Amino acid sequence: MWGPLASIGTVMAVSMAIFGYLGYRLDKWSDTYPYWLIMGLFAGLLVGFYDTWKWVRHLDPGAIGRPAPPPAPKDPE
Amino acid sequence: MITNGSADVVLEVDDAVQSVILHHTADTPFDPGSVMSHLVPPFLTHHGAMVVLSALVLLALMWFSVRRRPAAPVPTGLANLAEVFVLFIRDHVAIPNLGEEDGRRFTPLFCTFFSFILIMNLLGLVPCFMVATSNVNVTGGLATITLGFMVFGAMIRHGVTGFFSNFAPRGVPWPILLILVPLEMVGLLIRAFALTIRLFANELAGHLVLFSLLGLILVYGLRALPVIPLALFVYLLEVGVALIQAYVFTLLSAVFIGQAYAPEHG
Repeated sequence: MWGPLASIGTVMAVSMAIFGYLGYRLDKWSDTYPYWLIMGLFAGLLVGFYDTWKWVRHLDPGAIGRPAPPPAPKDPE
Repeated sequence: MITNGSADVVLEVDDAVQSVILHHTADTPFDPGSVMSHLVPPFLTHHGAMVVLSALVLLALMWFSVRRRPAAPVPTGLANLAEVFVLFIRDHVAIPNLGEEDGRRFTPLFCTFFSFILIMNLLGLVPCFMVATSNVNVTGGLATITLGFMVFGAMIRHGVTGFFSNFAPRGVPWPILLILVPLEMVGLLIRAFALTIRLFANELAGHLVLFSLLGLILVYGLRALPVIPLALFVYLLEVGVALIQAYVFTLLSAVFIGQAYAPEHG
């Protein structure tokens, strides 16, 4: 069940690397270093955090948003 | 430092160590020898040759493990070992992520992923061999298969419109959707890319550490002898990494394909 957690760190690193690289290339092209690079890094961070949020919601549905439904009351009998 | 210009080319030790490490990790054209070189295609590289060799080893192992033995009512020996792995992949990887029916259908794919990556990783630890999964093209090819199932498998299952409607979760206000839909689309590709990088980086880094530790002996001489037990430890760690990375790649492929097939659980 917790195996997907192995994915979270890599996805964040990879998304920041990809978007940072795209921002860097855009900076080279438009001569605006380092603004696109910074924006790319933040976009990568956003994707990484969104992925983390999805996993947490998937693995522990009560942790984010609506609280988990209370357990059914036990029959006293 | 390399001094050119005469026959006495002086190559300093640290440069020599660098070139040895690069020679053992970087991909180069495969040339088995003067007579044999006519038999191999010119595009074959060392890593490509390792992929082919791993596939042949895997085929041979499977052939020996599944051939019929009428005298033995239950699997013994190699078939018993293969059964342990196959049952583990089916019951702990495929079925929990894809459900009973799809899990059984996808078990051969995940068994192939696991055993193929494991054989490639382990063969790379044999001296004189190279590890094919330290090449990003090999891991990228494997992750492309997963991405193909995540995209085209889901399209076949849910239809093209159903596949694209999964990018927009129900009950979300439309201004949020403007951010959410691109994030979901990019997330699909990033996940496959993360699969590629994870396996590739782990295998390459392990071998670089191993060769760098052994290279310390060449640079510092006998003073660096204590790195030998350390290198042995890293080597044993690499055996564990080979197993764990094969398992992680298989598990994450199963999770991603399962989410693409049943997005309401994802």
